Amino acid sequence: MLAALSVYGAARIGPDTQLEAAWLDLATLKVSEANEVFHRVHRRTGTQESAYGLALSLLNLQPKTRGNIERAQELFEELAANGETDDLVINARYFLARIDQVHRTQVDPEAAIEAYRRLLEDFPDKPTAEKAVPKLASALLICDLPNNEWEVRFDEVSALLDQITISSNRAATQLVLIEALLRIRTDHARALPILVDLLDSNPKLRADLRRDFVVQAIDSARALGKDRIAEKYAIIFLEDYAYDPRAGAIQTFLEESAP
Amino acid sequence: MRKPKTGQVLNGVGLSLLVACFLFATYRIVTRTTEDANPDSKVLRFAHWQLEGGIRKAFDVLAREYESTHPGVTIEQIAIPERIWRNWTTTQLIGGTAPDLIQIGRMTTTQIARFFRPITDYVDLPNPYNKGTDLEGVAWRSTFHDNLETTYNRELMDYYGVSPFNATVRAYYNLDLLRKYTDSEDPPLNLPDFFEVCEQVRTRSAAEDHPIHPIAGSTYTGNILYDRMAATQTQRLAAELNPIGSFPVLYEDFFLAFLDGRWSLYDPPLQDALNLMRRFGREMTPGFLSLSREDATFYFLQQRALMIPTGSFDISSIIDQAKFPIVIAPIPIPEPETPVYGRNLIAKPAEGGIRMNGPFGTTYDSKHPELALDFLRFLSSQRANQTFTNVSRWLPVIRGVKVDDAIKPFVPDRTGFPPGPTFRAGVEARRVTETQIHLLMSDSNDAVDYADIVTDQYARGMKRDLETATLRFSRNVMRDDSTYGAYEYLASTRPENPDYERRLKLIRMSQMRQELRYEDLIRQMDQLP
Repeated sequence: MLAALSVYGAARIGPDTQLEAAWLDLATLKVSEANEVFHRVHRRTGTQESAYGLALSLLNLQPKTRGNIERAQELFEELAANGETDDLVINARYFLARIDQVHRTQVDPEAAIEAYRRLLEDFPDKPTAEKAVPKLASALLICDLPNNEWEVRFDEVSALLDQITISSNRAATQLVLIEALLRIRTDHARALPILVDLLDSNPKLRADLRRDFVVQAIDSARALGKDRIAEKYAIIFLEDYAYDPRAGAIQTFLEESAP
Repeated sequence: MRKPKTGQVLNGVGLSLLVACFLFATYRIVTRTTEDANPDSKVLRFAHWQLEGGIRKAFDVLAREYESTHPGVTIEQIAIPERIWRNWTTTQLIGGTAPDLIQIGRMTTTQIARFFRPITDYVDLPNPYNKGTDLEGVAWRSTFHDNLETTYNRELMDYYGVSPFNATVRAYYNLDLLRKYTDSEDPPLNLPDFFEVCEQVRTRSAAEDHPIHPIAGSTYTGNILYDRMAATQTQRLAAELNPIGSFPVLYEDFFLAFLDGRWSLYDPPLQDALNLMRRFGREMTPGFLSLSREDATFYFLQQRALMIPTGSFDISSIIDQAKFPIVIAPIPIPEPETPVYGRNLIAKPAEGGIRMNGPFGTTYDSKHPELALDFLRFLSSQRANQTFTNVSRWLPVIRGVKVDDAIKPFVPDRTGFPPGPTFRAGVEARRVTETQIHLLMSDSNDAVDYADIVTDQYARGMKRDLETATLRFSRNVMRDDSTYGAYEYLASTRPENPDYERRLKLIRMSQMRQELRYEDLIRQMDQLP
């Protein structure tokens, strides 16, 4: 009885209001609630908004099942083929690549790489497509490859970085380049300028991320003997993160490096 | 006159109790209803698990002070024992009867998302209760020593709560016993002196009816000491394992290096760590591995042990109950100049602990969310935090709050170099330590024997922990796709709300960070022998 009343009540609220609430639920991790609404509205209206919301919620509906991922893929494929706007087509194609990259039980990074490349080729001037760049960079660079092959991939990502117009997409791509250079190549010399640019261009990065990047800038600068750069970031670290357990060691470095 | 039968008496007692309970319940309902019916009256309830001495009194003092400046407001404190805390909060939250404010330190991200209101919109605004202090006009977030980083939920990208206290761990010494057995009032401040004192206590009390043990031991105090000691001995090794920086690696990389054969339990730093743990185990109460935290405190208060290692949160409980003077000092740890153990250090191990503990969050069930927020602001103002720390003797979290001499020994030491991972990192590897540690303490084994026994178990445990870590990163990355998609849609269709774009930017970076960590872990695990 209660369930029937609740369905009746929900039906009396307009689909737009329901969808608004469902988007907010999906954004704040109330996935099952969001999925239920998207599913209900999609069955009644069949709009592309409800299809897109339903597909996104299926990606994170627990327990995660192959059936849900395949259903999400079908919905994204439909939107990629018949999306009413370029942005919807781009987003659907982006999430199809994400399914290949992270959501399948057996992931297929090569398929994801090709999908991202095609997406960026098909929509070179669309900022919405830029979010594929850091994901493509990660798939291309966080792996062990022969030197030449890896460098060709690095150049590909560096070229894409120069074309990015949205600052947070640029920062995310820089993050991939830095991690790849340091973890795969242990190359402080190429990583440091990117790190410095990332820090200087994004003063409002999330505190915990920024804190670790500042420490890495100090470490990389010291590894390269660039003490002035290390000192600059040591001062920033001590001003902003004095509570961190690394503060004592950074303070000591600063004192020892003082002329 | 006929004597009533026992059964009739019991029935009568039972019935009387029932009637008494009924009347009491009726009274409670009637008074509560009257209170609720008063439109000018507001009751704000807050719940926590801190049953340690001093803190409830401090909360009471602040609650009364708040009530005195807010007519019609009543603040109720609900203290719930730690062992039933999870069940109690879950029941209250699901049942829709949760208090206005609850400690959120032990909540899952899903619970926080579902039941708690973010305070992000307010953290960059000044705390009005700091008016007239040197923090007037300063963003609320910046008034905390840790810039509120502790309560920032990275997955939800929001701040959820604040707390008035912080905690560190120290050694509490019985001054009478210290004088009696060492002829000194000064607690030992370095490791060799500490072991010397332990030796004196054991030797000189051996002939007495009740020999004194150097350390009041329990699984709890044992863990404090193992962690503190092991983290010193892994400092240099963990820093050397960092290929791209100078600081010790995190436990995942430490485990990877173990599985890759880059260190073993037979290496000097690990053997030293095990020997040190074994040495501390021998200074503790016999049978400490089966004793609880309360047992150890009781043992110490009975004057049967010289010292107990525990948190600053126990200061009031211990000082109020002890019939002897207490002296508090840092737990002696190896330093670079310490014989044998000093070789594994780069510098004196630094102490963390400037972060806040047990923050309070506002529930969606709260009937007075604005009042709850206001009370949180009051609680975390410089003046209130000063009162809180004066009454509770707990460490403050707000900048500029002074600590009196009694709690000065607890103030975190910010100097030194970060320590390395401990033997209780991870979940499965930690389980190996906790279930096998008795073998290390046994007379029939030494550190090499222990390594023989547990090496394979650690390898299996670490492998499982790494698999769990990759699974966790992978889940977070997958989950963030839905969240990202939702915020991207909201940002593009509701541009009038800049918060969506702000969150989109945050998630873009945090997801990328997790994804890179995941990819790199997978890559390194694939390379393992």
